[in-house]
Amino acid sequence: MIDDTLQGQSFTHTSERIMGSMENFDSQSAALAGRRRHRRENWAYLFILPVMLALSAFTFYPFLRGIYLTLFVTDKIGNTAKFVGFSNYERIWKSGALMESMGDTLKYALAICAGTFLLALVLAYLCVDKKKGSRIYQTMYSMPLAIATAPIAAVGTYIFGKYGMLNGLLGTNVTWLGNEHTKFICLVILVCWCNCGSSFIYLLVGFRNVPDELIECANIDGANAFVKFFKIYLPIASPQVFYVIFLNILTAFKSFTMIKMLFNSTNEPGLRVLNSQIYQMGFVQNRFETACIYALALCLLIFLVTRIQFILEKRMVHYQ
Amino acid sequence: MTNERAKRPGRAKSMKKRERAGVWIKLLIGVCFITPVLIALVFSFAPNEKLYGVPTIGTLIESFTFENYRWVFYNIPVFKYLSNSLQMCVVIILAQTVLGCLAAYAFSNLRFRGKDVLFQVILIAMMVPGEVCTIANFLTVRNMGLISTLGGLTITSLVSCHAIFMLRQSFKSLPKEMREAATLDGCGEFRYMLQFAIPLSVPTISSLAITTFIGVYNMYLWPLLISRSPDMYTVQIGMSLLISQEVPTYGRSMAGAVLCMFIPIIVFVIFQSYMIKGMTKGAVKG
Repeated sequence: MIDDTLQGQSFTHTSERIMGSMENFDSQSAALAGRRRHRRENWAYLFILPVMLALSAFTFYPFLRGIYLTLFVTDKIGNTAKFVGFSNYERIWKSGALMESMGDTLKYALAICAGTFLLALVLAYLCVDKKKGSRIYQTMYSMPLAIATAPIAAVGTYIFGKYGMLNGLLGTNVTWLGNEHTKFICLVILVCWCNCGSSFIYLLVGFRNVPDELIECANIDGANAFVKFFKIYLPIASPQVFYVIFLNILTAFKSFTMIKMLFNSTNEPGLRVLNSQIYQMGFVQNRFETACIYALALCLLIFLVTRIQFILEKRMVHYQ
Repeated sequence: MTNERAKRPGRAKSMKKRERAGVWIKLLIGVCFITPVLIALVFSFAPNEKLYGVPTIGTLIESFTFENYRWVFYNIPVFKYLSNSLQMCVVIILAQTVLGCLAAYAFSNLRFRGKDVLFQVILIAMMVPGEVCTIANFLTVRNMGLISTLGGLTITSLVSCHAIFMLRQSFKSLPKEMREAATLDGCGEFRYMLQFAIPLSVPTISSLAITTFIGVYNMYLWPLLISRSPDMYTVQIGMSLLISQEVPTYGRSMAGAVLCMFIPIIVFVIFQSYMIKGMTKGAVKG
């Protein structure tokens, strides 16, 4: 980033120099150049204006309005009805629902992160050598990138449904998605499948960064695939590994579509993740102020995890 | 290595064989991996009543039918949903590209007061999680009377900070000699942007466009909130209604899933290199 700004500056300096030589040429053109620069500045503001308008209307304003709403009781359509100060926070804190929801979110995020990461790691290691035909299976492994949650939820309800495939294969009669113990596992399997495409790509890029000479040396020394994986590939791809782990945690914080579609509700006990509660409170129960508090909690959680990521990155990741 | 191989042709041959076996095994794993897609595809051609439990391959072939698709096309305005989704994609991609190019050009090539501060503002906006803004955005859009309109579906995604960032990088990487030469020849800012900077950044723009296309096509929550009338449903919303019916009609929901998946999958398979380049560029250092 610093490099970029420096570059930009040196560039403007050169154009400045051109302008400067023109200025020496005669004083009239100097005034002209000044005016031109001024006009150019106006162009620049015109160029950024739409972006800034959109950002303030649909990113900054709603963020602040969300905080503002938490101090009120809102009516059915989301207008502020009565100022209540911090009593909304107090009510939610006392009910314990927020902490429960945070716990669910963390449990869900860690399970998804672990599953996705391991799956992507195995797949990326399988693709590490470029060979004839490797493009085909590489495309297959990264396929989930293109697929939305809705169709996978449809397949999931068929596989795990009461009259579905798994029961047919095993000859059992279990309601996989209704059962307290199995529903979490089913959900995690499906979400991991959906999420692993991007992790796969990042890890593959990391593994492909490993220089060929290193691998050749290891081969001559008789290192097997496991040793090569743990001693060469994993350390060299450590920036990507690190990035993928945190990417998955953050993605899991934000995803609840699969929960909503598999169980057809956003209030499933044990799976009341923060984002599903935002939907549940805001758009099912029309309690917008409560939803905003959940949204703030989510924001805080994301912020904390990003901080941890920055701190750990400085300590643990070594760039080549 | 090669010398050794030449000396012992038998070993080289066996290695080659093993390598080929490896490729086949990986392909097989790939097929297993995309089982969910294959399940949707295969079972969408099977009649509904055969799908309680697992039908054998014999019954699948023997009872091959287009009935599910016929039902879906007959009862659900699939083309309407598709056109809604595609319209949404086109509007968002165009807006993000045009507005992104303008802003990125200003941030990379122009000089103006407050440039660094304004760029910081964009970086901060990048960090605000969209989920936090959903509620207030919904209220805003509803108060603007944009529920169930294309405007309401697209208005919150017209600007992408990520796109601005990537385009800025791309514009900065152009050689400065070219800019100087153009200036000396009397080429103005606007013309330089349209005739040099943007055409030379087409790879970046297309990778952004592909990624945005797949992202927007697969968007779920925002369309769910905004499309309240059935003729503004996007594909994802329409198909998810098919899934969440009380009585499971697996064949039909599989047909719906296939109709929902096939466009992004085709786009992905054709343009995957663009998309992957766009994802990995600038994401991770090192």
